[in-house]
Amino acid sequence: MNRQDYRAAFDAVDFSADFEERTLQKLAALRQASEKEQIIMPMNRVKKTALLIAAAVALLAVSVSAAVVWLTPAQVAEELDNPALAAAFEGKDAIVLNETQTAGDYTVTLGGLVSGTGLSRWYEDADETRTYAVVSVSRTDGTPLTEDNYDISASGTFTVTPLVAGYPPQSVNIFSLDGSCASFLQDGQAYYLMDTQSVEMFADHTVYLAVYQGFVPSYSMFSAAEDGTLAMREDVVGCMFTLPLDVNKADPEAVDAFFQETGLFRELFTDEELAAREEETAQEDARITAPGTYGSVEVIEVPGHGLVTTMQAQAAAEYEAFMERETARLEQEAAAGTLSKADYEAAVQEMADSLAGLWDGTRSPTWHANPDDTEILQTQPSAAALAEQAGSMG
Amino acid sequence: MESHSRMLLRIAMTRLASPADAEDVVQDVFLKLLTARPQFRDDEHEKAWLIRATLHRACDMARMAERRTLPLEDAEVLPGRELPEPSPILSAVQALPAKYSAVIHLYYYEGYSIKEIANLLRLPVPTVGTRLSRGRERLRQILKEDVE
Repeated sequence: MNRQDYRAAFDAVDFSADFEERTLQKLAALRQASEKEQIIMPMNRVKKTALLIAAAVALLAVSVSAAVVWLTPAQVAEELDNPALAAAFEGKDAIVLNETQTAGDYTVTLGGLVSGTGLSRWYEDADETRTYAVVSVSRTDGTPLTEDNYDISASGTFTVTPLVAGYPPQSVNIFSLDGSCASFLQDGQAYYLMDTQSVEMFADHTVYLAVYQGFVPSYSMFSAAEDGTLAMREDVVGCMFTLPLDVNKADPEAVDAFFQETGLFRELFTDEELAAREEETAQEDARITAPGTYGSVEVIEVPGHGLVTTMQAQAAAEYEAFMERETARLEQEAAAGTLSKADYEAAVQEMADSLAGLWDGTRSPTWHANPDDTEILQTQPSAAALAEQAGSMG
Repeated sequence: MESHSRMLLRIAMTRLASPADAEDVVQDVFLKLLTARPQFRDDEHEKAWLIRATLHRACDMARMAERRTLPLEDAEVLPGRELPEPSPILSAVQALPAKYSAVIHLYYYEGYSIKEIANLLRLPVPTVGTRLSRGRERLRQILKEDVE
């Protein structure tokens, strides 16, 4: 199946002959119902006026007593069109927190937490329990957040993610837990609804909710103590909350299954351990002076790039092919006016930086469905680069 | 709305086997647009709102359809609403979990990039990429052919 086949299948989808007529009938019925309500209203005017007065008094009381009115977690879920989750946030299993911390110029509040099945708008597996958390953000100086001064997109100004003590931050986080984060701005505040695989399985460890400026969690943003405690590095703008989970819900077998299925690295390293590993790697690299096989790693010489592993060379070659196709596609978009010149140049530069990183070993390829798929081939900082970064921060 | 109505019908059909249900979704979104009167910055903002509203409503309708367990012999086919034979690709997409079919459709039919889909659905970019990859793999298994 290719894009043409897909389009052909859906091009056949069309409205029935009487769709327009039925829609107009529905609209007419809606209008009639609205008019009927207007007729009934005067008869209940006294009651309605009393209600309005009561509502105004309540609103006045709220506005006097609180400079800022936050949406509750249930209201956030409603706003995101998820009434089932809203009900869950008001149920007995919900944990109301309303804890506040500062993160740079911002005040971050963890409103509440709930876990449950069948509540996700996007994850339809009725058997999977997922965890939901609501976070709100405002400027500490009271300046309203708007789309002009705040990037509300997920991983825009802030990334919201669970982390677990004892496990690497790059292994257990919103991305690896198949999570998502819906967000919106309202009345000068930002609201986030995080939805991930349930973190209750980790409840025999300390489970955090980190809200920080950055992308995928890594050792460059978080450090680990010898007891496995995670902390945000000093130069990261953000904060961490500890989630009050029921230790009885811990499920070590589910944790084992998570690591087995994802293949993610399980061992957590302190900064000292990372530095020691980096030193070992540097010593190994120093011993590599010519093409050959070192342990299980084959090293070759590539003109213009020196000694590289065969995996590096293969990844770079794939990426070069991808770059050529992707650049052509972006050129077409730019010519058609659907991509600005600035965005085009930024995208091309990003790819060039990624390719350079693949060759010099500072970046490694990340997920991709198949080598021919140009649109989803990406790179990420390599383990060696992360270790070096962590070592230099230690 | 008229310019987007076919797009919304196709999106609804990624979740719903019944064309009648898909048309109801489009109607509901249309009515929601008229009654809620949301404020849009521009055409793209409006389109994104319509797409999200359609996906949400279609998911709700799909859940309700699952709860309606009507034996086939009791089902009445209204004149002019006979179900056409669905294409294998359409059926395969409808068989995908919602989180995959939405991304697959926006990518393959609407031509959005992964970054654009991430913005539209308010998801992280890697999440969209993962869902596209996994959705493609599921389609390959269902259709028993390569998915490019």
